[in-house]
Amino acid sequence: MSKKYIWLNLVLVLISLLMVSGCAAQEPAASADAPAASAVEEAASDEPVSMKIAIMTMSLGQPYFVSLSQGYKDVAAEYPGVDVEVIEIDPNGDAAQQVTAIETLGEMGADALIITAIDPEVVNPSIEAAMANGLIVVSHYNELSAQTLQSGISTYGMGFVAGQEAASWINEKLGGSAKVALLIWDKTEFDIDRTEGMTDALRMYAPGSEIVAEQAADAIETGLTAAETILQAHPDVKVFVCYNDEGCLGALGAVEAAGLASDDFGIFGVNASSEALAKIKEGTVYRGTASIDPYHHGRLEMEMAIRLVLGDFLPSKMEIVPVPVSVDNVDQFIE
Amino acid sequence: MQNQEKDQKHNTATEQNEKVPFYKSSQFWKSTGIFWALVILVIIMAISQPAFLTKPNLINILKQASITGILAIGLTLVLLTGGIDLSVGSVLAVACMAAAFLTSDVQGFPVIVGFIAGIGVGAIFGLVNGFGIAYIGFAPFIMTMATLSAARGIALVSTNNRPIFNLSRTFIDVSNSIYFGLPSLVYYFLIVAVLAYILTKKTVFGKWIYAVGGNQIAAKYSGINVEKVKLIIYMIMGSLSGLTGVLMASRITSGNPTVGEGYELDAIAACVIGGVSMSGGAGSVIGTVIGVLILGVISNGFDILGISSNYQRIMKGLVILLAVFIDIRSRSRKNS
Repeated sequence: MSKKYIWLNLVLVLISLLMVSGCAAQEPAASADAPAASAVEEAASDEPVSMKIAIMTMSLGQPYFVSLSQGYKDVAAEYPGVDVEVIEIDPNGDAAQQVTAIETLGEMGADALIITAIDPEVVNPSIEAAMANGLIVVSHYNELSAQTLQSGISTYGMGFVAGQEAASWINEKLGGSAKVALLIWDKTEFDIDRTEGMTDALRMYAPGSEIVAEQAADAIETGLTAAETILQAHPDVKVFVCYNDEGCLGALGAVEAAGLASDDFGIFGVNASSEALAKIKEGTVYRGTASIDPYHHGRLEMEMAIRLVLGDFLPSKMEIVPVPVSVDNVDQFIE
Repeated sequence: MQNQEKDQKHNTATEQNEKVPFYKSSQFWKSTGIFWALVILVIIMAISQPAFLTKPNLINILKQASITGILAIGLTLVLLTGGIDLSVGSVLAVACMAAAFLTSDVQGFPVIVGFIAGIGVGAIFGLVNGFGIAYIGFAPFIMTMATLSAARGIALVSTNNRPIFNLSRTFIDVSNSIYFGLPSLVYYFLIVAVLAYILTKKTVFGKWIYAVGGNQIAAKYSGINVEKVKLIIYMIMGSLSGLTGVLMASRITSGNPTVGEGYELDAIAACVIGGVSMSGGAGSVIGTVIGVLILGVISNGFDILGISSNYQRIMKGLVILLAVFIDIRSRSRKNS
């Protein structure tokens, strides 16, 4: 079964569960009634419905968000009978820039916004104000104080899956005990949650393992530098668990350069980026990653946003579950 | 009467110089203070964590400091003329993408093409900066800040924000080979440092650099083509940014459009710590090299000790403030 259908089935099952469990469909805001109704009437005629949907990730400097954004754009271009103009805004990791952008969406004529909030507390007031003016808001990952739909991912869960993969590998290959190094990122609550997930899983499932080093790295070059230094200070480290695949790829470079790439060494990351998947498939010491398939997640969220603008009733929350990826199932995730 | 007093003072000073050996004089400590600061820092780190002073880790420090080091040497030349270049990290990223694109499996060009493209891209940005500053009259801060933004945009747009992987093995070896026990990156750094030292200390052009930074108007009146000097310096800086981009692509085995963010700040910090004056006309390549090593030792030492990178930032900030404070004090003494 292809990766795409695994995800769509998973999401549909989760949506069904939410609906069955009495998850109330959220009524569109009163001020949004008129545009929604007219949109449905337009859809009935042969002319395509026009709408503007703004997309705002945390930062397009990260491959995860680039894939997510590509998913948004592809659905917007393909959606039948609807002419979707995508307004892409890159806040470059700055919550204040997100606020400024949200405040100008009205002038841009946006009907909906799909946002990954850098800091929910910072954007909540401007989101509330925008929704009061009829904007439909789909929140990727975060729960905001106001939103039309939350497309949730447990960032803690993402870290937990990576930690769990590492723990089971430690138990299987290293007899349950190993020196572990973490490449973390601790700049936002989002990042800290993921790190906690990693450490909790390691302590829970491989209590014999010991975390001997923890350094910040979220890119290939920072991962490379941090791993080089950690391997000098702790030559007995056998496992790296990383905040994202980019940090892992850096660590992989350091491990290979140091001549430590062997059967008893393991690197585990998060995001299932194409290069990480390739390295896992090649049989390198990159043993596993956690997939939340940002591209198909993006496709799904854009579809939801379009349907909400057209006036469809949808559950107010859907949950995406991270899936562990290893050499055993990597082929399902490679496009 | 005044002349007699002056002579007396001169004689006394000469006598004192004869009595006090050079290594005990204030001049000696002023000129070598930065070196001793590095030595003390290394000793502290070695005591704190024995793994710090091992041969592999010292090589590691040199390797990790090399990229920032090459940028810092270029920035030394820029700062000596009284200018500044904030665009080095972004230009590095564009060069990184260009070199990676050409040497990837898809294009398959030889390594030399990647080098020429990366350095060429850097030189073009340097030319733009230099022309804007020297001939149009933009302030260096404004001109290079604009280039910083534009170059980063170009790096991101060039591949729709996506990294480039699958670079040729020969290209990857450019930064990841070892010769006589040292990584190739260190040799690039040393070659650039030696060439910059010769340029600043052994050539007429070097004298012009100091003259332009010391007093631009006086330099102009003494027949130096100030505009041309500035243009050449910014082109050298751009070329070195391009070179670091090529080396970075090879080191991380990919072209990454977000690479080099904030590198300009580390490079400027290394220059300032090394005694290069932000107002121009004072400083040396040797000082900058020591400044680079001090930053490298702080980063590596803190990592080895398991101290958060957030504390490294605080430490760097304090070291920069201390270096600037010493610079201000020494200049105010000269003036008084």
